[in-house]
Amino acid sequence: MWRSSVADLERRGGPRLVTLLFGIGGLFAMAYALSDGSMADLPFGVTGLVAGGAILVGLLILMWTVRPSARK
Amino acid sequence: MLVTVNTTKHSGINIESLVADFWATRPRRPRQGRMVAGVAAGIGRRYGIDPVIVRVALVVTTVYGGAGVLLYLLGWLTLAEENDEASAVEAMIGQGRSSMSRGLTILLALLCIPAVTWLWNGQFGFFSGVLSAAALLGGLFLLHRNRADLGVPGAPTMTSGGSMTAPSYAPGATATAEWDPLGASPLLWDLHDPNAPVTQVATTDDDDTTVMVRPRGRRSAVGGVTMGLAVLTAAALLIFKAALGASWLSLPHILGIVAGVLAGGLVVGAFVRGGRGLIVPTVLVGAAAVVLTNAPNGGAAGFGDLRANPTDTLAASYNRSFGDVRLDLTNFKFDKEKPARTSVSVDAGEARVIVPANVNVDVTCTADVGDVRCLNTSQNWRDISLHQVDNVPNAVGTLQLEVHAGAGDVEVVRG
Repeated sequence: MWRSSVADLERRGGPRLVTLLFGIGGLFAMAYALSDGSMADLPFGVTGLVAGGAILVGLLILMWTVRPSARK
Repeated sequence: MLVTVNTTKHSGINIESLVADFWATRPRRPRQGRMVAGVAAGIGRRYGIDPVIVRVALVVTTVYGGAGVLLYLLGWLTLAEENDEASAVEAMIGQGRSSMSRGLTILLALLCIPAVTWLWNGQFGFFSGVLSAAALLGGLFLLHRNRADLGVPGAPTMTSGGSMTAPSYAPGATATAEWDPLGASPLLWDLHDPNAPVTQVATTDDDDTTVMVRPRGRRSAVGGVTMGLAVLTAAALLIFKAALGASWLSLPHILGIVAGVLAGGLVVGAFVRGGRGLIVPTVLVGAAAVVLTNAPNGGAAGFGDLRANPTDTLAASYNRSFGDVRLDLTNFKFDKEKPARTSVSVDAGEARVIVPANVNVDVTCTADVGDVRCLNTSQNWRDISLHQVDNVPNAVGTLQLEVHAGAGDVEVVRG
């Protein structure tokens, strides 16, 4: 079910979810290294980091969906 | 009546021809439907099974025994990509061309070394490695034996040598086209004559014999741009650290920032449909950043083995980031009034300390992952902390010792 959804999304020209997931994982690795392994001690905490990542990805998907070339 | 019995088992399995047949029709790594390098997708397509089954088998045998990751790496190296002439390994020895870069080929070949080590020294011991390898090879054997003609055979590469399953014909016999799935019959070949003039056949709307060729999409620049940015970032940070001596900017921080640049390229590439080749560098650099962040020396304590045999002066610590530390204190002159103190720390490697038989020892042995043998006690696996106080009669001194390994073995023994 999930695989077919992903395949449908990619067939329609949507974002590549596997690439996106690896990218988000890499961003978390950066956050982990720059916080010296204590992401929980960051001012915004791990929850804030996840929320920030979700906002970033959400905005990218939104921009991708409403981009001018997609509405033609 | 004398009856001669031919004991040759013709109906048995000819392993040699089976292996040759497997090699001749080995899977190709498809560009579509892959997760990482397309090994599982290629095997799934070759034998007409869901690639998810192959992926699950690889993950299970990676966790149990470690053979999954080794087989995946070998598949990545030896299975050609969909449109390539040859696999990466074949291309390295000059037998055809592969789209995989030589750098990545060498990196994957080097990664096979720890993968093999993991196979023998895995979490569940030696037999789990053997069992997981046997399970994977056995599964592949059964797949090829029972389903070799069900999926899409891999197109021959430069070294495959053609199919071994084609029917043979006696000299002069007429070959029929009744069953020839691999196109072995010369009568069915419709090869292009290289000397024939090239003609362009114009097709009309009614002509349904036109072969659809999907135009190759424009290559995205995200991968190249991001990789260039990542290398420049790493160089700039190293120069910045060397010039200004910024102590905060450690090796894990630099790797973390480079992983962030690569990850940013992946996020952008996910939307502009490019940069998939950044996945492997991002995983490697990100994993290195996370591992070094957890390492006690943070990758800043040097590489290679350290062997020390002090006699008069004992250093406060003996550290290595990658490599073994061997500290031999059997010749050290201890002060009976003043205890000697030192520590040994290794991020990845073995820490071994030999203490004299005639000193009192107060030792703490710790390891994040590995085997710990601390004088009379031992423990293995992860998050180990052992404390030992071992006093001897007529001691000539006292040693206070701390030994730590991030990933590796700790050993403290009497000399």
